Amino acid sequence: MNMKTDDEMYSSVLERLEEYERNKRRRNTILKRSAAIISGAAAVIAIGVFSDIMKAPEKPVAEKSGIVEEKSIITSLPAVTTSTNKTETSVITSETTILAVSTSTNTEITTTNTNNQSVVLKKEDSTTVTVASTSFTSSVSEIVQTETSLVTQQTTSEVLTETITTTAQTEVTTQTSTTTEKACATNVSDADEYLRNNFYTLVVPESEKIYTMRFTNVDERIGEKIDTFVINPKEKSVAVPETIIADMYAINGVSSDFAVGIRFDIYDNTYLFIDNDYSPANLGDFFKDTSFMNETVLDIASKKAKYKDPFDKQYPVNAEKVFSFFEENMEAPAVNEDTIIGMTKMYVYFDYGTIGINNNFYVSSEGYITFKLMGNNFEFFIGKENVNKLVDELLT
Amino acid sequence: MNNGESSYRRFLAGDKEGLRDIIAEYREPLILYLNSLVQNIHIAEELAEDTFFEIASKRPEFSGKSTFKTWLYSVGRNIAAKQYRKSSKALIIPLESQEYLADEENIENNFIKNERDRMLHRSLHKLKQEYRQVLYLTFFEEMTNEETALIMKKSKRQVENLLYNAKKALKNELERSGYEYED
Repeated sequence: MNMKTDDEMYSSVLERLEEYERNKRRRNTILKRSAAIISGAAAVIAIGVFSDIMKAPEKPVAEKSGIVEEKSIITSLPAVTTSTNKTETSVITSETTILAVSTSTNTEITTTNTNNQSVVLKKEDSTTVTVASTSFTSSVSEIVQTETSLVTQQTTSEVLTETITTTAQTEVTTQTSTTTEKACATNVSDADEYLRNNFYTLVVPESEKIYTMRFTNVDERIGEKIDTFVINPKEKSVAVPETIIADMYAINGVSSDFAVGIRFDIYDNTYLFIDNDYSPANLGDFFKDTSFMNETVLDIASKKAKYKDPFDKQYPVNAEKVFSFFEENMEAPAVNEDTIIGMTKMYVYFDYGTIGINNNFYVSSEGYITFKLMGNNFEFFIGKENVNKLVDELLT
Repeated sequence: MNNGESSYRRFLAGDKEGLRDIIAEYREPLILYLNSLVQNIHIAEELAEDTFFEIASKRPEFSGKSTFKTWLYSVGRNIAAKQYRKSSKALIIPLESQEYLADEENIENNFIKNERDRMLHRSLHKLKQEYRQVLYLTFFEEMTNEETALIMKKSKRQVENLLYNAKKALKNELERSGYEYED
């Protein structure tokens, strides 16, 4: 393989740069188009909402039908019974109240709470419905207050019975909303979850912990329940529901600093999650937290028979010797991820209990040992002599 | 004389020839420095290209607090470390790396003119990575301890200690191979 000259490297960098800028431009164009489409859609929705509002009567007329619908909502509240005895003179005040309500609707609707607009009532009472639903999301007590104020001013109780059906419908909506609010509030903590590169990353804002999912079922190993999360995935797709409940469990024999099991209500299995920030101080801590000595079944070692061999050869491992070697090196310190560990001299493959197969550790020319366990790397410095000892003496 | 900084500023101002000048001036020493990290001249070459691409595409700000070379080497070191993080195996060098020695010698001959220095440079391969790095930067690049510390992300005191131990290790290595040296 020939090395590049100055000019060749310059051309190569320029080519990559042009490709990079082309991709960047393409991304920007896509973003701009998406933004235009989204803003267009938003504008259409806004116009729709605005025209709906504009269609609502500016000032509710004190016609019989209109007043009847107002009553239909109010009658659902206990206060109705106290207000129905008022005299006809309060009809005028009733009109005033409705006017006030429609004003509050106009302001609240900008909070884009459109969920409750699905409650379909007659046109005359749309104002009232919106008020009921929008106020609810901001504060339950406020709704009661608003509605009570309406109730106290309802006077013409001539046709109360006719409107009971409508009332019931509104009540159902209100009750459902209340249940959802309570469900969120009673959960232990919030969590955030999103899809990335075909595996899940679970972010727990409260503890600032980030876990990475390994597609390993640990159903048979789960122990004590640690926490429960309500997850609202940011990535919207058909496959992912809006809310997922997840229970976090300890895994028997393994420290929860290293890994936990998480069971989602959308899956049947409990999956293994590795704590991304887990960093043991030394080899002893690593073995203790992962229960390495109990879990591990050593498989084969792979190394070159001679220095210049192009391919590795496989050797059986003397597990007893290797484990007693580890026992002697429990104080070996962990090293940070920036360390460049040099040439690999030997790989040893192992199964990690019932949790994971095909893990390995390897030793390097600079005196490092790296454990690749469940997709994460953990490095320790054991010294060149110990590396040579492992490579030369601890195979069968 | 082009000190790298002015070439970089020219490049940022839109003159692509500035990048050519940077590559012409720093390609070989940067490859040799990165080779002291990864011990594979071809991976070092790729990392050097990645370093030039990084400054060309991301256009990071050069504040002028260090020399341009120190800054460029820091970028190179970060890229090597990032590459390592991305895939721990990426920088694990096969044992048959001997076959790359010829390429390394070519670039070495271009950059290190003195035969005795070349022999010293080759002896570095037998030392551990941090020793190789500190000796390369101090002796072959003639950087100060402060500059070396900046690149290696260590304190000046750590670099002094490292240099002391590295010299001792190099001396042992040279003695073992029968090399006659002067202190």
